[in-house]
Amino acid sequence: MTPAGDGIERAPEAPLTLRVNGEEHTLAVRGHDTLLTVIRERLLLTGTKAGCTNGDCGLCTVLVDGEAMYACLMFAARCGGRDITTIEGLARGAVLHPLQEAWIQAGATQCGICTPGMILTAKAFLERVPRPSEVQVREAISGTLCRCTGYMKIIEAILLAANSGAPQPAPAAASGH
Amino acid sequence: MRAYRVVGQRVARIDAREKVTGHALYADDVILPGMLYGKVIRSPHAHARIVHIDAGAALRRRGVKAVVTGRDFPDVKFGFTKPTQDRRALPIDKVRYIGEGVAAVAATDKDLAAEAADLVRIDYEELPAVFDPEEAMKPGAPRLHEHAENNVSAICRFNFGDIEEAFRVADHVREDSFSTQAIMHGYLEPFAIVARYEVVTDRATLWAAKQSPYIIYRNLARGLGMKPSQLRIIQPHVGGGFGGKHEPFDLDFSAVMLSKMTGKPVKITCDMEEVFLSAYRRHPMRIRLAVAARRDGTLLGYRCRLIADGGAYAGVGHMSIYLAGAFLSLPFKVPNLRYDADRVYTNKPFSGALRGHGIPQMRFAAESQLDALGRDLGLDPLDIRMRNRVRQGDKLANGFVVTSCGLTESLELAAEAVDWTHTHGTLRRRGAKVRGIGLGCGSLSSGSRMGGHDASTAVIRVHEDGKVHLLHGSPDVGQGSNTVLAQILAEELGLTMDDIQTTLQDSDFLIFDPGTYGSRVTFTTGAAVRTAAAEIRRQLFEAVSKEIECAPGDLICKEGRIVVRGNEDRGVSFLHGVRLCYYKETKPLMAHGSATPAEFTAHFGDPKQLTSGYGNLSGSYSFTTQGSEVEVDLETGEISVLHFASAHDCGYPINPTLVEGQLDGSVAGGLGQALFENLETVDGLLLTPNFTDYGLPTSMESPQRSEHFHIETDDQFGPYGAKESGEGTQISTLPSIVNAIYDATGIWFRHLPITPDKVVKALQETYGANYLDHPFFNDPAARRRSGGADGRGNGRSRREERA
Repeated sequence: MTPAGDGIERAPEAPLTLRVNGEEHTLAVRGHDTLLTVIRERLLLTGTKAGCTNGDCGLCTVLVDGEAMYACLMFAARCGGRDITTIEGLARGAVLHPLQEAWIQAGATQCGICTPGMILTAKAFLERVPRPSEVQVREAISGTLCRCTGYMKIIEAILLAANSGAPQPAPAAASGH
Repeated sequence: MRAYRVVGQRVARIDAREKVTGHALYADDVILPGMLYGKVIRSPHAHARIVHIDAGAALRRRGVKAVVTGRDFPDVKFGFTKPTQDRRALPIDKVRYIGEGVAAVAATDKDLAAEAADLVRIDYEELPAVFDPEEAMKPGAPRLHEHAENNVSAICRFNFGDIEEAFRVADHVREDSFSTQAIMHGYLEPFAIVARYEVVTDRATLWAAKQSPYIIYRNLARGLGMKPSQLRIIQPHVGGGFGGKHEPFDLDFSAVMLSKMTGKPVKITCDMEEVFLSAYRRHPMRIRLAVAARRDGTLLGYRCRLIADGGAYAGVGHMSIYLAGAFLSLPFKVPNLRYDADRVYTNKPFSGALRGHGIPQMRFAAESQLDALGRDLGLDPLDIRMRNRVRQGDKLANGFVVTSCGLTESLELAAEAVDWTHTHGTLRRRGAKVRGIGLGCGSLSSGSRMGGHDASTAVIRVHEDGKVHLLHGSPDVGQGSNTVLAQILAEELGLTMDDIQTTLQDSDFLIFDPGTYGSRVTFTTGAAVRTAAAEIRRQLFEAVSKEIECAPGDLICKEGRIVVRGNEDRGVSFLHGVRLCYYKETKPLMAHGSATPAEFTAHFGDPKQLTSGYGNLSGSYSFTTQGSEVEVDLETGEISVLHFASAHDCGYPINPTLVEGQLDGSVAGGLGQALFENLETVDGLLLTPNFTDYGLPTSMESPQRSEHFHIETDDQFGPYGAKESGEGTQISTLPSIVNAIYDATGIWFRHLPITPDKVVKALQETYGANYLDHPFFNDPAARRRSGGADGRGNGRSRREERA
């Protein structure tokens, strides 16, 4: 513990440079600060939602070097130099990402609290498996919970986004299902 | 043929762009300058006297700004009705369940708040506790509340028709026992609030994850010793409600009081484990149900004894047991009913409203018993439902009036979707897996008269640029009601969705509204929107009629114009009409409209009426039939849902996509309760304090196929004929799954949830250790002979009895 300027004892901080949605941020973080805490409370990117903060619900999913990760289970200090994408980084101004458009078209958002994490999970998945089967979609999103939709329209949205993209053959690894 | 342009269309949600981009603000996203962070300290004991609270060490810690306890609040209790006012902002005398909030701290950051919470020393004197409702009713059991003898918090005693006569003349009677578990709402947004008290105005502003500001108003103000007008509630987006965000909680009172003590805004966000430990849940119910029937399957009467585990406080529990009894008959017509229910205090978190509110438990019992009754009498489950179904115009024994009813069509559609005639009762086994299909019906009220101020009000302002702004008091907690209300408004004014804006609720700009519960929003607030829109039209038509020299009554709104009916070339654009109002008439173009269910429903804010149970709950009732196909793995006991077909009469789907979303969500919730979810406690300690242990369904458990059928019955009261669609289908899910499992295995499960261990145990007990080789799973003819195993049990026909 070290007393900071305000005289309050806190865990020591170390400088960290994070690249979030293409923008670099240099800030001081504590060893136990999670990526979720830093994204929401330091960078004030509140589109990333905090649910269980325990690796149980998937609400806080962000992309770290293109891979869907639970931000609540990652220490921010280990994310230096890695490319982080949050939901705020998907649309280009008012032009939405095809997944976001598909979400709207299919009616895949209700309360919306799982939507950011679910869309990012889907993005990472479709980049890996551009033409998935329904079963593959179900498996891909099984780490993120949703109580509103029963997942049906979320699955529909992901398949819609996959099918609306430019036609491309499914990679061999994914076609055996 | 309907000629609507916006209503009835699959338009996108009005809030969809905000939500898919992460811009939608929820309570925990609100950040204010100088904001402190709070943390609630929770009881580790199920029942204990609070002897002493010492906050000294916490307050000496630098950065800790305040500690609040029950003694800091006025000495008042609050609750749903006068007899059930048993809660305080924070307890002062004793704690009644593990996880109950006792005190709260505020500090300059979250970590400090957590540390400070550990530094508050609370001395307890443990008291004997009681966890089982039937134990709690026995003389000498530990008493939770001084006012409640035998720990009974509410009762219902319904007696309609002549139940003795019904059982005397019946050809056949049977009696069965059922039990249901505690489940949670499953909203993924934990409780959160930001409160800012301003000493100069003596008012507090709250941003909180709530689904009914008005209920919060009344109870929060009472618990804080403030007037409702001293509170301003600004509604953020809500991350799921399902009936679970009505009540004010410990964190809400604490945040306001801590803000008052410190002069700073205070945010308290619970972690999910706190939600698991402290939130109210669905009532576990023990149901003993006796049915009297004629040989042809006609239902003559039900005699029901129900004991509900109410947990530590009353909440709206009287309503919950009322509803269970009120839907003892509907969706079927049963002339004689006797219902005795007790809701009992136990040392667990309290029970309350949850999607379907009290009804799914009862219908699980009644409708799985209906299949058993059919087996006793040699009747097909579809036929016995057809025989007893209600129809439009029926008046039920308890005073319910059915104004529109699509149950017949829904039974036909759901049965066809699962290929009932060819599939039910057949052996379909592949390897260790057997399949079965089942039917379940359901009905739900479209809003109800709850007592107190009960009207919905819509306020419409038309901007000078022609855009129309809607304000109303019923929060959209995800179901899409803001979209539906905007559709209604666009239709009424001949506009498109792009012309309509809505703002989330702010109590400083609204007339009180009961909020979002009981599937009332489209039905009641939708009617208010229509009334307000009619007034806007009146003002517009008056201005336009002067301009184009016609009678105001000849004008209509159509496709962005205000035109003469029958001569549509004559008219002006909507925008021109708006400008005439503002610039020529120099009048602001705004209106309000109200609607209330008071005109056609009974008053259920009255505890006496809840107890005796007679009266029409709602203007209209929705109807559903659900066909389910399940696959049971005989080796592991695991059950998967292959197919749900929901045929739902919501009167008229104003937005079919949103209705389907409601159906999917409702049946997924029912699936969870049937097969997985359980807030399992031992001595009041929760064993499942996270989603994985608890069993919230993931995408892997959701049905492999989900079908919807919209049945239009064009209800006379609902806007555009629309009725309930938010929760009714959760009612049909439980019995349809239970009945499908029976069809697959010949075993009738009467105790939820139906977990793999129970399935394997039941298979062994029913068919022996080598049950896989039993004829029931190998010989198609065996099924027809046996009619199943467990279900036959205790039915006795009058003739057998005499012989």
